[in-house]
Amino acid sequence: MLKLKPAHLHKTGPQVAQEVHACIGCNECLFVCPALAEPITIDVLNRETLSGVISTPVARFARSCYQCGACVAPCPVGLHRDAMMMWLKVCLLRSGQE
Amino acid sequence: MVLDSIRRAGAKIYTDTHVIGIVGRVGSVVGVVTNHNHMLLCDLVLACTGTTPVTVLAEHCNIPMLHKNGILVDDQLRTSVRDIYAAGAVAALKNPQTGTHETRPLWNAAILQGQTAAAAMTGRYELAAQPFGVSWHATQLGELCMLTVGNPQHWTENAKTLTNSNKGSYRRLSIAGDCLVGYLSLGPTQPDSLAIKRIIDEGLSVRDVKEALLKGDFDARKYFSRQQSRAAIDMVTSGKLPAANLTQRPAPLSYPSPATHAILNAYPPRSTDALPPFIGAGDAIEMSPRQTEPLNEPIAASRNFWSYNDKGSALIQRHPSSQALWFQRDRNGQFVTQEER
Repeated sequence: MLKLKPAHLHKTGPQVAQEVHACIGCNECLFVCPALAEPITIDVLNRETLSGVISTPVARFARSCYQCGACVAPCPVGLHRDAMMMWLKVCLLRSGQE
Repeated sequence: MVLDSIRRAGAKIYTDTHVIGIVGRVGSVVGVVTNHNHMLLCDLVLACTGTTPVTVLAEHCNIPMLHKNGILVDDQLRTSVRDIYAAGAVAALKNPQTGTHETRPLWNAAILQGQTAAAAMTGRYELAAQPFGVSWHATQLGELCMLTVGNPQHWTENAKTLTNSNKGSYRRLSIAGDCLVGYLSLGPTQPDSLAIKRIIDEGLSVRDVKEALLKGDFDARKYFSRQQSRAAIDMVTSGKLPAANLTQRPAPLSYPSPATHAILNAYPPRSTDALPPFIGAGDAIEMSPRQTEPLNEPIAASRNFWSYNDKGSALIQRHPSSQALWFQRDRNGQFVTQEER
């Protein structure tokens, strides 16, 4: 059984929503992501991050994200996709999908 | 630095050059004619000459709508006229740093304002609960990342400016006390832009991270983790809970039903209507069921509107066409009209 550990999130829910709203949808973060193995686009990822209704492919992607941070540098507007992915992981844990 | 970056990306830049004509037919462009009588061939013309808010609608509104360099709105994008909202480049929001109302003709502000206005109009106040905070703009020109948070250019009093110019990068910090009030960054990498906005919005101390912000190697995750650790240690050692965050927007206000509103509008208030309780200079109370944040303008726009000036006098505008009546508290705390005094 997975043991829940406290996660150090430097962005809270409203801040993650703020980041998603500021995303310009260029897909650069997903282009460089080494953990992405499915055709997930940024609009789907943003929509599900905001709504909390997470589809199976996005849940798989969130689980496979290992927080390497490769998505941060290419963002043209300086957003932290790793924090958004961490938020998705937390949502999955809370909803019991993990 | 910006021009060099654009040139490196392969673009030609003509300075001190104006377009005086566009050559082509309807639907297709051949080129533009400049003031030096040169013709530059092109397929597309984009006009980027800044924006000026169009306030014609506000000027011709039957009910006076407050406007000055844009239509004045509160944090929920409500204008001074009930049930009319303004969003985008025409909406003049209150700058939390200066207190003045100014427009934000930026893409991010337009998105947020559209969402906030739509949420407020449809009664989804929980979606409109995020304060706008200071202005924020991030973009990329060629290989150059640009970020502006707050107003790093126009701080002169009580703020000191720190700059750092390295190879291909420039950073400028405006700091008042220990708090960051403005940040400008140009360089090959983009800093954690919204984390810097959060630092300015929440007025957090940057005493320990000035150098990192100047050099561009600011680690937001480490900084906020440390902030949380400090807050937790303070809580444990002092035994006191941290103070409430006053930057949060107050709870959304409830609106009356449309039927009630129609009745209230049909009957203007009588002079014998009960006076509102005194709540202090500068605060405003609306006699109609809606409350709103006071705008920094003389209150003469909406009917049934109470406000207090800095002397504690109360002004009631009973109807847009009627003359304003002044009330002031006497020694017994009772309101008296100007004529009675």
